[in-house]
Amino acid sequence: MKRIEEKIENGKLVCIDMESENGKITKIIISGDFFIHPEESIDKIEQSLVGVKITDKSEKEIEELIARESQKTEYLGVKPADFARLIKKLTG
Amino acid sequence: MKWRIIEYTENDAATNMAIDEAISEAVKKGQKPTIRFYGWKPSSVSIGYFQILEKEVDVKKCTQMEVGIVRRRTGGGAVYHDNEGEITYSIIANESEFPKDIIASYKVICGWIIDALKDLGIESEFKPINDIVVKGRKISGNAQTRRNGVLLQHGTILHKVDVEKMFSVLRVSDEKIKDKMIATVKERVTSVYQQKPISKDELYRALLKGFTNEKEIEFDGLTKDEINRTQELVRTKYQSNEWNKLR
Repeated sequence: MKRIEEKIENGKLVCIDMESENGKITKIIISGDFFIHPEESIDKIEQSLVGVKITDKSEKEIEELIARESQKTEYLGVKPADFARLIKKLTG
Repeated sequence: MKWRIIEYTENDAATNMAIDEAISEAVKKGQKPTIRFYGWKPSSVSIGYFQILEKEVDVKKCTQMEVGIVRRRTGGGAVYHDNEGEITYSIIANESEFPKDIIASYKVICGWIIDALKDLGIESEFKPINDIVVKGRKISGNAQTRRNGVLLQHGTILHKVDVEKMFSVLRVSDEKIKDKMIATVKERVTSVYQQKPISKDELYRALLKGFTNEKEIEFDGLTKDEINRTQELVRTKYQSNEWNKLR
């Protein structure tokens, strides 16, 4: 499991634990002291990322995928773009 | 609109979180909006909904020191709730009673704390997202969730703070910088007592006034249904590994 942790500027701490095989995400846990309403959206976001071949996707595409999975979700202290950037950083 | 005020009681960690959820369900079914004050007995750590338990808390140390552990329904960070060092509150009401914008609603509720501190001669301000600070140093942390049209915000106001004790149960990402981290937190955190040597009871009276100012209120306890539901939630949710080790 690889881990990346970052304090988002003017935001909260985000940590991503991820496992991948041949560039494909097999397991991902997004944690931290941020706020997402409703809270369960995080499960949907994580599930939607499993199976994604991260090496084939741009940062923007990952961000859009996360945003699509959490359309009615409110973010405080973190944004889908932050998750995408960190996931990309972890694979890069 | 009449608010129900539940006066300060001390409970264990699971019970405190279960009461907040039981009240939320009751408010959904028509119970009055509720303001509750509470403490943690024994001292406990609460972690945010999105946090990894083992990463934030030294579970072994907590067991040794008889410190309780619970995951909150709300996001935010890990908090060490000292039995003597703080007062916790929760606000549970229909979402429609507060601004739709989450930060704006934090500001409204945190404003009641700021009023209470002002009454004690302590000038503080709201620092988005969810803190109250005195000259830049944190004195209160708050967390909110909204579910089924019901808003729950809970938070703590530090009366006395013992940073060493706090870090004996909370983990830091790098043990090598623990001493430095403790020094930084000491600079960044303050308490009511550090600002003005007043008792916890005086602080409570001021908070009660700040929270209930210009509201129609009624002092009451939990209903029988809320107590039963609390006991059920303690057993099935807040004491369970499934919940506390969710992440």
